[in-house]
Amino acid sequence: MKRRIVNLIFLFILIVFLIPGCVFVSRDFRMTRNDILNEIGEVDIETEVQLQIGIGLLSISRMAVSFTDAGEEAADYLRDVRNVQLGVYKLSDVDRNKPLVIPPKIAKKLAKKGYEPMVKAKERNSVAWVMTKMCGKRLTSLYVIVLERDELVLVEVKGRLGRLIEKAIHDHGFKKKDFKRI
Amino acid sequence: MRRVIGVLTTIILVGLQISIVYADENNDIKKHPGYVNFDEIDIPGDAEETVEVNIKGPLLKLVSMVTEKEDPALSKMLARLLMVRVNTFSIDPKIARELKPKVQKIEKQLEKQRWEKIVRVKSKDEHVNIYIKFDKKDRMAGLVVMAIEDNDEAVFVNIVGELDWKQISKLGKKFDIDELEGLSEKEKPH
Repeated sequence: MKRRIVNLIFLFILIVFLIPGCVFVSRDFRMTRNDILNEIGEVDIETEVQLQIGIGLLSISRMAVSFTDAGEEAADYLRDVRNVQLGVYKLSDVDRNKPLVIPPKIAKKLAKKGYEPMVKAKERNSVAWVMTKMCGKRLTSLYVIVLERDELVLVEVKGRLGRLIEKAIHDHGFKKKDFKRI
Repeated sequence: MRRVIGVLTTIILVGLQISIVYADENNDIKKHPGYVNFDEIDIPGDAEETVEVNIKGPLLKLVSMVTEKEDPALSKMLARLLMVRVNTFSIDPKIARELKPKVQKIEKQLEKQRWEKIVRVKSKDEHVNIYIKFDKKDRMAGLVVMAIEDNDEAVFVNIVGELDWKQISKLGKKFDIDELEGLSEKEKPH
């Protein structure tokens, strides 16, 4: 029994420390979420997904994915990804008459980190931003914010993203209507 | 300790260098003859639908690489572009009335800077102008679309970089800019 507990603790420590940030999103990421939610006003929030996948977990995912049908291609794309932060929050009681706004200070904050807006799209019931960060001629990070009346989605992906974006552009092009549907 | 200070100094210097290069790239585009400043056109806060797309050089190179196999000529032009900026927003007649003087001001600026007006549509509800800028070597260096439909939407497009007349319509299709459709079939302006 004692050995089992020790093993479990060891496994937990291994997950938390050897696979960097597999559970907790960064402080910046949480602050971005809070800034957006503060702008909406009083609202009920339920966290559906909030995780950070570091290079360790991504390696494991690559291995797992490579055994599936679409494996090799997906694993190949995952090889380029270094870190993913994802947050999906269910919102309720959002004021239907108030326009949805992503506060401009978020753009400023992300700009300080080197992000530039690539797409900003707004409809009556949704707002979406896609920000990109380049290092010279390489696309190194992508930040996506999608705010709807019942959901907020935040995604930050870091790595060598050129090929991923190539595929996205190839599959979906640059259609304005698609951006509104992000 | 001295080593730590040395490392820190190097990091700060590299950081400064990167930010200087980054700022220079942005300033370079603003100095390009094909660049037009749309800052005066504020997107109304209460506009129901808006789309702002701003794609710069490195990302355009990616688009160019994706397009290479299916359309080498378009890919070649995309690789030479420095920026594609598209601002679209829904408007009502009141916003359209407020926009028109600002657009006229930009039009005057463009004419002063010797931009060539290649399309002009002016009806009761619709106002579309397309301009092209030629550089000193007589190459197309920029394109501007300004379109206002009173009860629908306003569209402002600026494409900066060396353009190929034959590929402009395809570019419009790629970036969903309706106003550029069929343009390449017309005679190339000089």
